Amino acid sequence: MASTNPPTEYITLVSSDDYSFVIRRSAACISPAIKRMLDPANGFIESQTNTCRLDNINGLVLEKVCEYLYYNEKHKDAKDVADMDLPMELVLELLMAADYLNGMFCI
Amino acid sequence: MALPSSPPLPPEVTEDIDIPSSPPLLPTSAALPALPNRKRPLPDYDNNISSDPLFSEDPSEAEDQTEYEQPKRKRMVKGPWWTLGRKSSQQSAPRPKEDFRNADSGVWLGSDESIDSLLNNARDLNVAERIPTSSIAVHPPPLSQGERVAVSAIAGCLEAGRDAVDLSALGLEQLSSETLKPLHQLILQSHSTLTEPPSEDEFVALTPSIKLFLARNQLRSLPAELFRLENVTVLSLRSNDLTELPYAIARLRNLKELNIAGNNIRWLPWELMRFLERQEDGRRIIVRPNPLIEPTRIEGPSPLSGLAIQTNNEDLSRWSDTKEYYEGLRRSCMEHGPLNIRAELELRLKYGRLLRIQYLQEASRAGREVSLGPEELIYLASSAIRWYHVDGKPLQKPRQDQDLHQATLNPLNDAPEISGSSFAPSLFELASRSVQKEFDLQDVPADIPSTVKLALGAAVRGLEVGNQTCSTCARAFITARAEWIEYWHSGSPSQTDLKQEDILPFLRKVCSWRCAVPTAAGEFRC
Repeated sequence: MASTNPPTEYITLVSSDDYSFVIRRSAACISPAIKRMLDPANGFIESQTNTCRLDNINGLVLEKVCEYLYYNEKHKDAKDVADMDLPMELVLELLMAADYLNGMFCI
Repeated sequence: MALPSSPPLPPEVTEDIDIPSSPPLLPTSAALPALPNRKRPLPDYDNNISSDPLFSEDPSEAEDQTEYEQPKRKRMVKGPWWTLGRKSSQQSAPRPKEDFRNADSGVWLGSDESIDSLLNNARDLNVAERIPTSSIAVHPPPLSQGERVAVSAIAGCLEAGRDAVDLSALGLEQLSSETLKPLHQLILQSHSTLTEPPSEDEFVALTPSIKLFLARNQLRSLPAELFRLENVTVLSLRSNDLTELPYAIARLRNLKELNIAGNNIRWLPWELMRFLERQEDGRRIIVRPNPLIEPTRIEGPSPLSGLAIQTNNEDLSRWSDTKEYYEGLRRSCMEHGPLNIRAELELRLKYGRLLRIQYLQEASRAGREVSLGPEELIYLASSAIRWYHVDGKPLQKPRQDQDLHQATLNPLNDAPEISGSSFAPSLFELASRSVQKEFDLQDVPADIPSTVKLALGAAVRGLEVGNQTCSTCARAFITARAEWIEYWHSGSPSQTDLKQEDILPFLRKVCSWRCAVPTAAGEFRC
């Protein structure tokens, strides 16, 4: 966890129940909230450790979120993208998580 | 020895070797009273006795079991079926107790029935409690005078098989879906005069072509049911208080005539474009008068009239030439001063017309059949695009000094970083669409963020009339990511000047930032 000056290629997302997901920075930064956390200009601790703790998202949901982030990155320029399948029991929580990860308008 | 009852336990613990005598006790005391507590002392046996006593006496055990099971089966049958599941799960505790009583002496037998009847009563009570909650009829709010008249008018039409439903001037302030629902069942009257043989033209489908007249009411919104009536061919909404025409109007595929004159409508939904595109089959729409927004003020003589501009169709044989010609025109106009919006609109109108003529010429040369409407549709301009976040919040606060709907030459001026965005739907969008599909949206948890609530509200509306589709990629969406107004010229080709009353504003919405691409100058529909 040494503070690295050039941004690493991979970053870690940690869920509320301490599952950690290592995903590509480019994918993670699709979420404005995570992007802001990791931006060194904002001086959050996350930009030093390259680890984001998401305390209101549990492991199950965060796994789907990570899957989505890669899905989004993969289909960036593709037209007629098929919708990603979301498990029915998680959709409400995913909706909340999505709201959280997009929100945070305070800079 | 003084105490007869207490000794049995200590010997068992101390004299381990003598124990074989005790196992027989179990089955013989199979006298049911012992049954309930047979399980609890089990750990006590663990220390030395293996389980063989249980298996050693098969016949008695089998007997035991039948005795054990019979009352159980009997009870399962008792009572209505819907309490079965509950009973077996919830009343498992009282059961051993009852067994106990049954097997005891006759003392309890008398009261057994009474307990049963008590239980029955309780069950009945339960049922009485449950039925109303599950099937409470939600009483609709009392209908207004006008709506009652409407209901009876619709019933009359149904009865007589008439497909012209006149609900005009009833003072309706709102119309409920329930009122319109019976119209689904409307069929035309078949051959009724039995004295003559049916004529040739009576052998037609009895599918009605409903003509619905809602003119001269005070409707502010339209019921969702209206857009499910696929057989509506004429819809008159003249002189109401509508502020917007819902996008769902596109679902009325058989609509031939639409009258929305005399409302407070400021723009048309983009979906109406499809309706206007195909005027050849007698489609007609009456839009004005309405306070439609304007791209810019158009008054006085055309700024281009001073310039000598003549179009020579003979020179224009290829598309690229037209483009050059258009650019040339623009340049020559620029020499006379900066181009204002109005001049630009007129140039684009000319450009679009040229392209249209070329297209028609080419089609006729190739021998293709082109169905021509009486009116041409030519794209003129767009307003600035308004961008939205994933959850529907506007990206920028609208500036006060700016007229949002004014036509502009570069609608993508304030564009955010579009290159970073994706064509893929947002997680928020995906999730809200799944929620819409899977959940009852009426009882969502109360403590959700307001943005989510808004999205779910939109989802509920989408559920009623179908989700809106992206005007660029035609994918369904719940939360729009961008919207803007497009101004199209809709008038007869013979008329040369650009007039205010020929310009129609359309509101376009798209599903992603990448889809936010305004129409290019020169677009036209025949």
